[in-house]
Amino acid sequence: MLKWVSELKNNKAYSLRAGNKITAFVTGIVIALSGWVVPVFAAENPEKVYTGIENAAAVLNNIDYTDVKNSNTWAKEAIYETGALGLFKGYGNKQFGRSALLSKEEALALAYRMAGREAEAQKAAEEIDNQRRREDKKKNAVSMWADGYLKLAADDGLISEEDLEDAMNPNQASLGPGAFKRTAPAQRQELAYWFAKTLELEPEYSQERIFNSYMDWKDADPAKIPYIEAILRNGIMNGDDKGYFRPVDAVTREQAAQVIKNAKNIVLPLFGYEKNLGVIEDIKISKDYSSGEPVAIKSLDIRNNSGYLHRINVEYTDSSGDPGRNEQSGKAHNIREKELVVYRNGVVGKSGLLKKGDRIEYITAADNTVRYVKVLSNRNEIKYIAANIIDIDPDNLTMKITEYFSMDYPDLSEAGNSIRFNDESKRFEGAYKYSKGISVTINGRKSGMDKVYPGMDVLLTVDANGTIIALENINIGVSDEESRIVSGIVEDNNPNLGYITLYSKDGAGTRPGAEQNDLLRTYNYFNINRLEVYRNHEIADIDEIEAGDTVFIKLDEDSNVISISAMPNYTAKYALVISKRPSALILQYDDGTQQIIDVDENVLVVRNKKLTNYDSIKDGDRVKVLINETPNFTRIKQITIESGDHYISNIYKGKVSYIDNASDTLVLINAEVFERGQWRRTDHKGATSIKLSNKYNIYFDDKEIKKDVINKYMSDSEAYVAVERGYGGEERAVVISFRKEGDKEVIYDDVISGAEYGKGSVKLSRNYNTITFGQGSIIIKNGRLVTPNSISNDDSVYVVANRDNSSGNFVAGIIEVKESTNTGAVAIYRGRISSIDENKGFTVESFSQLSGFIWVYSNTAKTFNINYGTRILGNDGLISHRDFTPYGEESFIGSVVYIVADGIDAMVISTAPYGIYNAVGDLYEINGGTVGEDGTVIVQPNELKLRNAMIFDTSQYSWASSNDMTVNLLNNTIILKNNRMIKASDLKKGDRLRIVKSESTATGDAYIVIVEN
Amino acid sequence: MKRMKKNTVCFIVAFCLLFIPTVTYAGYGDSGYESGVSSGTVPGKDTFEYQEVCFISGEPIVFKGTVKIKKSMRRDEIITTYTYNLKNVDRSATLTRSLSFTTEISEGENGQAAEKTVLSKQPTETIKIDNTTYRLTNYDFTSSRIVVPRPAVEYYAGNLWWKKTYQIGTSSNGGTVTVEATGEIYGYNQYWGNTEATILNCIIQSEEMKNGKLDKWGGTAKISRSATISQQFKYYENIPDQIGFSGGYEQTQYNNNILEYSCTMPEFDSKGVSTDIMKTVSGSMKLESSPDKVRLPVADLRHLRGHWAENDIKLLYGLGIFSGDGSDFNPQQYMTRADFVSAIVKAAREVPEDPNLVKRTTSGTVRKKGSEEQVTSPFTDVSTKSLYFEDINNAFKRGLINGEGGKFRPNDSISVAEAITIFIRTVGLENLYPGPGAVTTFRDNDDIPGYAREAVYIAQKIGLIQGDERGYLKPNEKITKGRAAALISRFITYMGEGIKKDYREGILNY
Repeated sequence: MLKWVSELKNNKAYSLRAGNKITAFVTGIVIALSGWVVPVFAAENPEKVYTGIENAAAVLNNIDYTDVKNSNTWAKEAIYETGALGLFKGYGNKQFGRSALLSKEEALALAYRMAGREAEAQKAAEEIDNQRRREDKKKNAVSMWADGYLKLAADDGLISEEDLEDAMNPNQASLGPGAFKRTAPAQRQELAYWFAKTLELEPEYSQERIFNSYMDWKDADPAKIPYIEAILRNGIMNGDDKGYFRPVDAVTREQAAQVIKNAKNIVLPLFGYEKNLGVIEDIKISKDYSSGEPVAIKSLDIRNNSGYLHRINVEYTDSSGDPGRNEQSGKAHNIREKELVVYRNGVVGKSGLLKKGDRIEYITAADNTVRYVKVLSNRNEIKYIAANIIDIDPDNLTMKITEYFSMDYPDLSEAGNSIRFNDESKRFEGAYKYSKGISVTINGRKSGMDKVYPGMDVLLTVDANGTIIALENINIGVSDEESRIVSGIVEDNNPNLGYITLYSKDGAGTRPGAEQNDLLRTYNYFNINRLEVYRNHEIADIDEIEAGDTVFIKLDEDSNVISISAMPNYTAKYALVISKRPSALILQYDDGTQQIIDVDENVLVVRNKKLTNYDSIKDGDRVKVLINETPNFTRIKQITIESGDHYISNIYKGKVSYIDNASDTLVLINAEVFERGQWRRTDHKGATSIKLSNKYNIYFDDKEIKKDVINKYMSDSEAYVAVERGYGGEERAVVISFRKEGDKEVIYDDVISGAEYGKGSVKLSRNYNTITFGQGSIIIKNGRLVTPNSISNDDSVYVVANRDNSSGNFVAGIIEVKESTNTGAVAIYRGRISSIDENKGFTVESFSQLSGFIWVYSNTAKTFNINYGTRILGNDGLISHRDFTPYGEESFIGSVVYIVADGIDAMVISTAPYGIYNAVGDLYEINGGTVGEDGTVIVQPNELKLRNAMIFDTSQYSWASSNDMTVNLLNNTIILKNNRMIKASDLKKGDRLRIVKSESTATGDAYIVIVEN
Repeated sequence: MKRMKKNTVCFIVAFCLLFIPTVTYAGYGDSGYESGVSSGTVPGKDTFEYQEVCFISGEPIVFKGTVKIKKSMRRDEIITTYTYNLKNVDRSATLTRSLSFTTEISEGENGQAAEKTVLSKQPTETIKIDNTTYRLTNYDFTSSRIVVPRPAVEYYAGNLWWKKTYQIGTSSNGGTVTVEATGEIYGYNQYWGNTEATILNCIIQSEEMKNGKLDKWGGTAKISRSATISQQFKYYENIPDQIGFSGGYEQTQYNNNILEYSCTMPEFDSKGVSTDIMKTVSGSMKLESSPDKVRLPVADLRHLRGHWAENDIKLLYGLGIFSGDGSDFNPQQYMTRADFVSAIVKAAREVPEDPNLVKRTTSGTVRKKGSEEQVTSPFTDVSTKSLYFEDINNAFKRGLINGEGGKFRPNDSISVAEAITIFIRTVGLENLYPGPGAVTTFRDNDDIPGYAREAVYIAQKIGLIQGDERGYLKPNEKITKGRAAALISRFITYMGEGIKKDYREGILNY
């Protein structure tokens, strides 16, 4: 059957190659050919033919230990097997000596024998013996041989020279307690060390993890630990089921037999043995009379685990004939017997124990004889299934599993070709009963069902009734340690109570209710202080792992968590801040959904790639939030505020002519711009086109309307249009709010006294008016479009309201909250420089300070700091700090300068002349500047025209009106707005300016310009 | 054990079915590797509007003009030549530059392509600002990117580094300016649009003799740019009543190219010498080519007047995603898997090839009309003679569908979970899945079948699906044709507009 499979596979590969080029006709032939292959199998020749051994009866007699046969020892199999293979023999009197302790010299001898170095030891023993004086020569051969092992052990470093000296001391009784007594029991750690040495196992120096997981690892000799680790890794010795290795305990002989059996895979090749696995497909008996005597030949056809046919021929005298007898004893002849030593379920015997369908392990020698056969199970009685546990129900003794594959041998590494997948594409899921007395083996140790958890990969032994009778954890393609790694998404992490729960592997387990417990996976923290925790590949605290994280968890052998590596799962979402509360944000996502999210001090707030604080978030800001969204909660991790100043740049009013659908443009006639509480005609006459933003809203009569309606019904109606600055400086309309024809527009410059969002109205403190607002009201705060909720009492506002013709109510068209000006004080001084500390500061010998409209003189020196922000203005413009020197031709010592200072930090130093006159006025024209085609300033303006100007007469302490005023700007004119130095090009028409100049006339140079809006 | 499929042999005539409008194509490198942005290329043209910001004089100067791009392909190499001709009228400044790059493409077994771009010819560049000439004396350049194809979207990411040295003035000791830039490039390409975002960080260092003294200064600049092609669908109601068809859709293709810069440079004193005062200047520029509009055909859907999904259905008929005249469309009918796949292969078309690539070797991509090809069906229950065969075969080949056990079940109704799985395969965003066992926030999360969990999680994350008002997804419900129309229409909107945001606003503004 299996042969047929491989044939088919080959043919299929061929058909695929051929199919591309030729036609499917080929495929048809292949199918037919495959069909023909089947009968070929009947004539299959065995790949190998083995025979039994002639001394099978003698071997069976040797291992017929009375203290084993009648006992119930778990080591039976090991004792029989090692005995049959001649690896570890009994005392020779049908006694094995199960509980006798292995002495040190025996243990060393065993270690060398396992490595096939018996002859070497004998030679060494003879050499020692030859050096001895005749009278000292050992009488006892066994002791003499032991000398050889000891010598070899000392040479190889298994024992020290001192140990050897002790061991060779003829008077062993005189040795002290710490000495190496050769007949003293060997310790487990010694046995491990010696076996590891002679079997040449690679010591594990770096990571002694397995051994470290035993509680008593500290009891071991540190020098031996790397070797014990190697022994553990190879599964040659194991700890007990309580988590102890017991390194200093003695070893019984039956334990030693088991150790040897565990080392079988290493030892057998050293003895020239080969281990094979197979299933008995057929047993045929034929008779041979060729030698004149009736001989029965039993042929066992075995399908080995590589899929090949092996045959074992057994010969025995046919009992129906006359075997002949020994003429002296009368015993029947045993001639020509070639039998097998077979172990089946605790009993040893000959080939008669074998049945068709038996899965067997057969150990063969180089001479093609079979030295030992062990029946593992019968195919018809026992199934082995490799599976992943989905779920365990201890109450009903059932287990849900995903079946990976089934196979013939209970050892994954040897299953070979016997692995049968259910289906290549789909894994089979099923439920099995398990026996109450199920044998559980976890990492080679006997264990219980409490150590079996969902997610484990296991090898199940299923009996004929379909009940799981044994379970062993396995690693499918991963190292032993890695097999104890589970991964998933955290449902709950509770370090206080010491557990972490993951959602089930398939992501179910969010539905509240009873079945939840079956779906979720919970693991305990054994010791929270010794837990290794990583998050985002960095060492973290266990508290930092939160629900929703992807985690990998490493478990120890008792399924406790020893290490966690987590990765946060945050989703980036774009949203608009509808309202900011002290500890929560109301966000509106792009899909229109809104959410209130708590914000605590751990949330990172970022703007322009720089960490900032929560205060810098304003209502109406666009943000990108990183959120952790789980079925139980939504937690915000980071808020990035949109940069690029995409704010409301202007509000226009005008008649909407139409909306151009093709270009998404709004055409506005007679556009006016809202500036400082007034509508001002724009520089652009007639029709202005404004692009619509990607997202815009149109309102009329407090309702949102569709774009199409405008061209149909709203042509030439007046609307307020809020625009924001887009890429490339282009303005884009975001809100178009139509006015009702006939309503009267009033503008208030006022302060909010009563904001009542519930009623949809605000009260103004000076005008005592109640202004209602609605969807169509354009509300601007901090340059952002906001909802009415963002208006607070005491906000200074401009309100553009419309008095409704029918109701008489005032409805807000625009509410613009004025930006609070920087109230930090800067002072303006004038003084003569007496000393300069280059790039650091300077001192004036005395100074005047501008106080109100007059200069107040102080006859004291004052020192100012220069920092990187300090601007020094000379007659030609900016002067480098490095040229502001107290020496040389251009020394500034003795110069009289203006100093604008914040405390003692100089912001601006200017060499402009002394001005004693103060004037105020409204800017209406800015001249002399040039602007490039993209709006960049090429030349700064040099002339300002003011109206409503007045000049303060310092002698009269009174204002004199001069109506219009024209002033020149110099290279060293200081222009201040909100306590900051600005450029002349930053001045705006309509700005209220204060000017410090030299004359009381309506013309002349301005030395200091202060914007006083 | 897997049994052999019974294969059928048949002949079909292959011909092109899809109507493809002219596509403006923003391919990789269409804005070059400098600090500028182009209007995007148009097939058949090789010269495009272009703007660039230049920092070498110590302040940002925006140059405007054109770039001429020539691409040619030879085996695994693409040679791209850029010729820039730019000026700034305000400053009477000019910039001319000629660069030639070789891009070597090595395709991996997984279909991913690694590209490496190097300079292939001696570059030339001359900039004149305020009567000062800057001449490029050295240009070191390296760039690479990885292109990962998914069934309907091709994603890529790349890195870029260059260093330019200019000589100031004509004499060799007049001074030098060096500009060193490192950049990251991200983008995607698909039928409904594409976006490329670049972030470039530069350091500018100058050494120049001024007034007999060596003036040394340094400044930094950050440039973010994005080139996008996106689709929008606008519905036009007819103005006349007496017209033989209802209102219909217009498909508009936008080509949007923006660049934002922010630089921190020293201020210069009145003598033109640098000072210690650093000034940050930022700005942005935008280049758009005029939108390309196509009026879509109108289906006969009078029996659906007022139906919830009327407009979605109209759009899908208009785009040819639903075929026929629409008069027999029943929105209440469950959609079969075959019908759905037939629609999705038209909604999630293959990534178009760069039309500007002049191929030296004509490959066998052009099929002669009437050529014969033997075709076998990937599924035992889909006959090659089936009406849906071509679409199903196409979907299978592109990895949109797998079927189960060699069967596709074409006549079964498609479920929500199945549809979402196909959508996510299409966009190939499986990478967003945080790991086995991730849960969605739908209240009926546990009802999502195992095979669809990954897809549903991702679809929710990218905003492709939403639960109902009560937070339920009802993953196992069958989809009516009406609902399918809404889902596919949402998918197209996502492909045309939604995916863009993460590349443009996400990279430029945050």
